[in-house]
Amino acid sequence: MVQKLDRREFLQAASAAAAVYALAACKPQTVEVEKEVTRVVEKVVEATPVPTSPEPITANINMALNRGDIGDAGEPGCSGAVNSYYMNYMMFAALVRLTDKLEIEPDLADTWSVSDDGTVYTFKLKPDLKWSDGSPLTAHDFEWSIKRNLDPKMWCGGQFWQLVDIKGSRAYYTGENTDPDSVAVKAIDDLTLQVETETPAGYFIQVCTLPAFMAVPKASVDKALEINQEGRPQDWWKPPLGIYSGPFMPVEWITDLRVYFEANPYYAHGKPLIDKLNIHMIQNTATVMAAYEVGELDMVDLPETEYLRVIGDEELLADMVTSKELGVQHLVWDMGVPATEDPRVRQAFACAIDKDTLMNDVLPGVGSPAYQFLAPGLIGYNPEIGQELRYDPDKARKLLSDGGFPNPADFPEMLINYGAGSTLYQTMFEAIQAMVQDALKIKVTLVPGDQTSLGVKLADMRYKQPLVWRQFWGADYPDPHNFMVVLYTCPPPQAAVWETPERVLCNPKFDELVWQAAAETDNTKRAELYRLCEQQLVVENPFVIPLYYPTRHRLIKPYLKNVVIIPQSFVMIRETTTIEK
Amino acid sequence: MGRFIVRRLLHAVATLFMITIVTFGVAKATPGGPFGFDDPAVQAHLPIEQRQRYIEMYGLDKPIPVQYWNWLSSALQGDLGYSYSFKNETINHIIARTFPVTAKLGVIASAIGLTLGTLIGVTAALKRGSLFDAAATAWTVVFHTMPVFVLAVFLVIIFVVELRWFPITGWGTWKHAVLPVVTLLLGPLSSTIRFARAKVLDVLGSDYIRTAKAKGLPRTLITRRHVLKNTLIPIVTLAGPTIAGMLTGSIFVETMFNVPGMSKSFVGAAGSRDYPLIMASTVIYGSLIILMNLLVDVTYGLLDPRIRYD
Repeated sequence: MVQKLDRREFLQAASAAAAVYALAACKPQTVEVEKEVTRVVEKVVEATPVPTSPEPITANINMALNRGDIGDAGEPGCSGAVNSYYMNYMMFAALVRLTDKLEIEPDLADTWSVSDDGTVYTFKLKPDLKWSDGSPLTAHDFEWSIKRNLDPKMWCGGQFWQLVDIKGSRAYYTGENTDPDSVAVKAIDDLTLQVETETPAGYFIQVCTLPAFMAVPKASVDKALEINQEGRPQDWWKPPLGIYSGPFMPVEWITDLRVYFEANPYYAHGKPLIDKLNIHMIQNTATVMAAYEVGELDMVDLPETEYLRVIGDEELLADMVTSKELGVQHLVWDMGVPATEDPRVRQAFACAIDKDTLMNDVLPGVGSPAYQFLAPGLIGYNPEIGQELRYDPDKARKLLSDGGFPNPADFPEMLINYGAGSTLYQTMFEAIQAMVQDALKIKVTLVPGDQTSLGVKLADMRYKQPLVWRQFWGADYPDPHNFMVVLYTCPPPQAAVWETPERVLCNPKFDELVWQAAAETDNTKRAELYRLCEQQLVVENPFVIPLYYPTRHRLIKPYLKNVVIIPQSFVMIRETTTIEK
Repeated sequence: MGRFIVRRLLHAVATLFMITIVTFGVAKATPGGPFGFDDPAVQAHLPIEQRQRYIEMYGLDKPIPVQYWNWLSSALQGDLGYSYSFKNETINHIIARTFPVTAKLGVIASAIGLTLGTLIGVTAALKRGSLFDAAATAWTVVFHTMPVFVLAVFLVIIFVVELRWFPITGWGTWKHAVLPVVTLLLGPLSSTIRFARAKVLDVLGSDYIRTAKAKGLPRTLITRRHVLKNTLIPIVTLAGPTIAGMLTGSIFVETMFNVPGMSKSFVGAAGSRDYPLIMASTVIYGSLIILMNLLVDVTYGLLDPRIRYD
């Protein structure tokens, strides 16, 4: 027989249950996610030749991953954005790497040579290379990894452009040729790797620094495939599956929260001086600053909203490290619009933007005004290019008039898309809107919005109204080829298919010059060719309007020594980085 | 009561079904698509076969009603599919990883907020016009009107930067949970104080309380038997959606305090057209709301004998 509770008894019982649950919930938060963490270092620590100090040297840094990076952050073959590059560089080593002066230095390769015709690269690896578990790392690992990255069956696609120069890569990637041996990457023996390019490519050694050229551990990938679900391998790069060739190896990986690393005792450049590297993935800028100020983080990117506060605070200012980034913020014209067909109209728009005022007064600390597409420091950068399109409202009005609009009122409403969610861009583009309206007396409308929805949102307006897009290009490798070819040739070489030639210049003269420069190995000649490319791209038939070269500010605790700042948005914690308190 | 619960559960199933249809329809009708395939630059980078493989793998090549049916039949078997953003992790796993964290914070915040709020609200009403009452009213005005993002920043400045009582990075100790819980509970605490205070004042002015007083019943007995019990009805009404909201977490609190919770993983699903994740988050939130409303209705009857379920 079921005994009935009266209301009072029910309430007493319910209160007691709630109290017990609340107390239980108040226990220290040993989070479930911790359970997925598996320490893989025990075996490694036993085999470590270097004795560990009693107090491990630990660095804490922050890195906010973009949503798009979350899934593939550790997979070098899928890595295409700055933060996932960073994760790759911590875990894996490539054949060569960049110094803070953007020079090439050996990474896992000891030496390399190029054939006389400039197409065959032979890399000699350092002897006795090892993965983080002590197993040998050979040229065969490189061959397997590069071909794997080109395999059309690989789960993620889209980074083909990193490997596009290799002979046979396109046919294999697009499935025209299914034989992996058709890709001209070959391990001659355990220490020798030969890579052949389709044509001579003066920039190819720089390309070899990219993640798609890293050796990844076949053993880990195979293990991950064994436990795959519905054809999706597990994340082989995470512990406990992963073994590593870079300076650090992850021992704890909690998606979108933190990745904790320990030094790889078998790293080719020697075991890093830092024992533990904790990468936190904090998005909120107030949290980032608080964590830095109380010493929980040793290095952070300075949020743009905090710049003015930091330069007014002596203590924080002393920690601020400023570097130029190898990139350019610019506007791209939507081509094919009748109103902007005449190059003079596009030139008028460029002349209407006062970049000096914009960067010095409206947005101090953000960057320096740009009149060229190539960033300073690159071959072919020429400060004289584009000077004729400096801010000059009278000239702007004349160009607009000569371009077919003597009466500015006849010019259709101009649209600028700048991407949503950033107060920096909002401020910047409100200023640009005011400048252009003031100089040209035309109507300018700002269209915020991400590209996911933008294509549809603007579908009705495009090709009828003049439109420019904001675009940022940061160097993947420090060569003008990376700036010119990937974005604006028609079609770009990495395009596996070519259906909708939008947002590319499609100027045969420009394309010809770019490819001529790519095949040239003499840097003086290349510089001259890129100057001509730039003249086409920015001045004569302007397709882009350079806005500024960004400046990156970071806060780095003074006790964190020997960090390597690479002007590609990276601050590398390398083998020589240490903490001296 | 039994029949009532069964009837409500059937209604709940129908409601949830409607929620999924509407959400699926709205998500599909929203311009744009996943993987950036609407971006010509992305389109150009992927060979057609690869793009096709993505589309087939997620069943995006099928007509929308078929896509919905596929999703529904998998979901009914407990499989919510794969997120487009967290490519190698099932949504079930994401939920298993993040929901307990969010739910624990939510339970603690709800328990403290509702209990303390009721106690303060009742006391303030019973001591109407006192300093305590004035303080409670001021508290509710300040914390009810202060947005959570302002409050969280204040808490970080005071307790992390200045006093250094709590850490801001990492997760795993009780110290990490204090500020997120406090931020979460201050809003519901203020609402509960307001509701409880207003209801007690309302009850105190009613005829049956006057009668009880006239009968000479002791003040404590009147408060316990008549005032408190009648006050609980609006509190219970408030508790339903509050607890449901707390259990699904606050994106701002999770981002600000770097909590590895559900909101943080689920936010952005709509922006990136991550349909499976959009569906999962809607179903979870919808189910919790329905469940809490059912519990609220059941609790009404236990609190107030005049309420009948037939």
